[in-house]
Amino acid sequence: MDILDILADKKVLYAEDEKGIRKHITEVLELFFDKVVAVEDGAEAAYEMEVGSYDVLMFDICMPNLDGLEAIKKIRKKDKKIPVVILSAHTEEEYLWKAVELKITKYLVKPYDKQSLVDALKIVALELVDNNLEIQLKNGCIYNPVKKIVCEGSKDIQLTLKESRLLEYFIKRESQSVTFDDIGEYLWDIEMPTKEAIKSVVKELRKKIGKECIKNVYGIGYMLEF
Amino acid sequence: MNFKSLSHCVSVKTKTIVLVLIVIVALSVIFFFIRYLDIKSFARSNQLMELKRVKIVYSQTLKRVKKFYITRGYANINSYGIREAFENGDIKSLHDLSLPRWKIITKENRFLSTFCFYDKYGKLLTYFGKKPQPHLSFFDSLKKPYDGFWYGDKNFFYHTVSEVRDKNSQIIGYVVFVIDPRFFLSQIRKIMNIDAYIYFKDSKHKILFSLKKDLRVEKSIKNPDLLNSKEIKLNGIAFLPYVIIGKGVDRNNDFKIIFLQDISHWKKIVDKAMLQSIIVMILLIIITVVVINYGFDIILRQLDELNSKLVQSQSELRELNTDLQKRVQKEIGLKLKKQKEANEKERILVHQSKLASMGEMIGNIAHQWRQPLTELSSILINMELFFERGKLTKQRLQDKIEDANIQINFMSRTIDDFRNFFSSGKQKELLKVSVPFKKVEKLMSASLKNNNIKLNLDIRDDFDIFVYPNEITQALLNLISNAKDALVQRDIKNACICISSYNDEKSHIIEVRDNAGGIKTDPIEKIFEPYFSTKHATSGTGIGLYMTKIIVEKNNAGKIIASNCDNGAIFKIIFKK
Repeated sequence: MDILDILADKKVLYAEDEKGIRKHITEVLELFFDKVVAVEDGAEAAYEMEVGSYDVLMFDICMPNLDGLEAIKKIRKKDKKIPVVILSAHTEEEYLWKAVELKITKYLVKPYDKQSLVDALKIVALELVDNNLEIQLKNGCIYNPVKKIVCEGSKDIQLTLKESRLLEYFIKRESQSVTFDDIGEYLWDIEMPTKEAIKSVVKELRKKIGKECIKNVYGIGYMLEF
Repeated sequence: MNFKSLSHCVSVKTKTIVLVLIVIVALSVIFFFIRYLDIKSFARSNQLMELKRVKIVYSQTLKRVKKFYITRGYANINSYGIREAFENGDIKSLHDLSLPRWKIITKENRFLSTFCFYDKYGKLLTYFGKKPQPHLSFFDSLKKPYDGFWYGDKNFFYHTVSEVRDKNSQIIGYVVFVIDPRFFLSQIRKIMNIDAYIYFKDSKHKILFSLKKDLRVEKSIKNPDLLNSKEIKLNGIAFLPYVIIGKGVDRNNDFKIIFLQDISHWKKIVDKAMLQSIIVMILLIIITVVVINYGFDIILRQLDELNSKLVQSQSELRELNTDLQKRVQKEIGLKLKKQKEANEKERILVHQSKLASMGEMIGNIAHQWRQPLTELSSILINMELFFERGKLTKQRLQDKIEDANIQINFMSRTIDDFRNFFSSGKQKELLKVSVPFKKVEKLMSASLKNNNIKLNLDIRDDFDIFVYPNEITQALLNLISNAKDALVQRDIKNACICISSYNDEKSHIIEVRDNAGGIKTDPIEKIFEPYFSTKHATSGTGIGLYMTKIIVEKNNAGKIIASNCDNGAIFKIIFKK
């Protein structure tokens, strides 16, 4: 069981101004994440956060236009939970304190080695699932975010990428109503899907984890209940 | 030294006195000698004059006597009855007629010896006074009786002869006066107040006439060595004899008339003069000795005083000298110490500045290397992870190795750049201003980028500068570092440093401008002082700008000026064209 598999269906936003580093690390991240979006400065990153939805942020600090910390500060105003990893050459206290205030997950000092990167990703992965690798669902089913499997008694049911992403999205927002728009934006990258497409994914998920887990919220969307 | 000079002076004194005395004596002797000669010659000319006078007196006396008695003779002849008595040979009437005349004449002259009458043959007729010679002895030889001195009848007398002639002018007899030669002596004595002697000498006879008897005088006069003007001494009195040859009637009757002039008077004059001279000389000598002695004493005293003064002032001078020496040494010591301190300070400054720029350089190197190091690590991570998943294809491996080599090369070049900065440029070179600009850009780019600072190069004129290349680079680095620090410290958005080069009318200008808000220090020049820093104690050494000024102005003949513009500081490095 590899905790990093939690990331396999996740989207990461990677900001790094150095072209070479960006290229190599993007390639590496692509090994772990479902999707990697790489940008070259803070302003671009902030914009990307406006228009897309991401599970993880990995930012350099020293970037043109808007530095990483500033960008994170902006993002934190809307999203308090998203795990952030800082990759920076700076070790100055000033930066560290700021970073602490922004509640980042990991501060990686450049140049870092493989292990520290992998460890950081592991921490991120665990954070994404609130350190819970066996999530108890309402009907007695257990969801394994690592294997993306739902256990119902002795029967393991494999979830598709969209289904697991949607389920983890719901888990993070348990007892909150999630709109169609939220779902569409999170699951689809570019074009907004039709309501029917969303409904169809939800329907498939309900089949695997039990209908009663996902409640309909009329006119708005859905809500996960435990 | 004092005593030596004193004894030296004494000997000099003695020597001087002796010398002066010798000179004085010599001069005096010469003077006396001249004086003596003078007196002598005066005396001599006097004596010659005397001699001449004596001669004149004698000859005139002779003439006068001759004329007087011949006239008397003729007067007697012409008186009544005398001629007739001669013609008749009447001796008695001749005697009687002549007697009154004799009485008169003999009263006039006591030296008139004889008044006598001879016939025409020279035979004595009659006479008055002493008995004359019976014949006029010279008659035969001279054919004619003459006036004058002659010797006859054991006597040497003067005779005047008056001829008695008849109507036919035939000599019929002679009237003769015989005069004692002492008459002349008395005449001379009367006129000249001088003793004279008549000395007749022939083969048989020696007769001396004198007015008073004096044997020693007579002896002297009879001395055949008696010469004209040769001094003789009689009775302790010096006399000068004058000898005149008196003419007799013939050569046999020549005689000597001798005058003795008393020259003790001259002697006295000479002696007096000598005495005077000697007195004067002695006085002179005494005065000289006293004066010289006294003078020398004064001089010596003054010399002594001077000497003591000199010694005193010398010692004072020596004291002053040593004091001065001490003071000078002290001053020099102080100065040296100060200089040493200053040098030490300067050395420390330079060292600190070197350390600082070294530190800054190392910081820059760290910045420059962090990126490639990070990239290398990212390549390694990439390769490892791909390998773990079995996805490391040959192609991928080659690509990654290539990427890694590029980074390694970059790092190598970077470290070379820095090393060159520290090692090269020991000599002044003529280089384009763009060269240090590019170098600075290379060295600082990473550091600036890390701090989000833009660096603009604006080479409007790429002029030549004659500088130590790494020093001018260091100066630029310092200015840029300073600007960077200010920008970071003040957290400036859109931080930017612009370095530009351009010409104006008189100079080449390098300008470093930032937008960090400017220098708050007043007066602004204070920032160039050593250990002046506005930065936090940990980041600033306070010597960057000082060293920059030193580098620019001392070593590279430029001038550095700081000023503020709207939003930042401007540093200008100015080189004269």
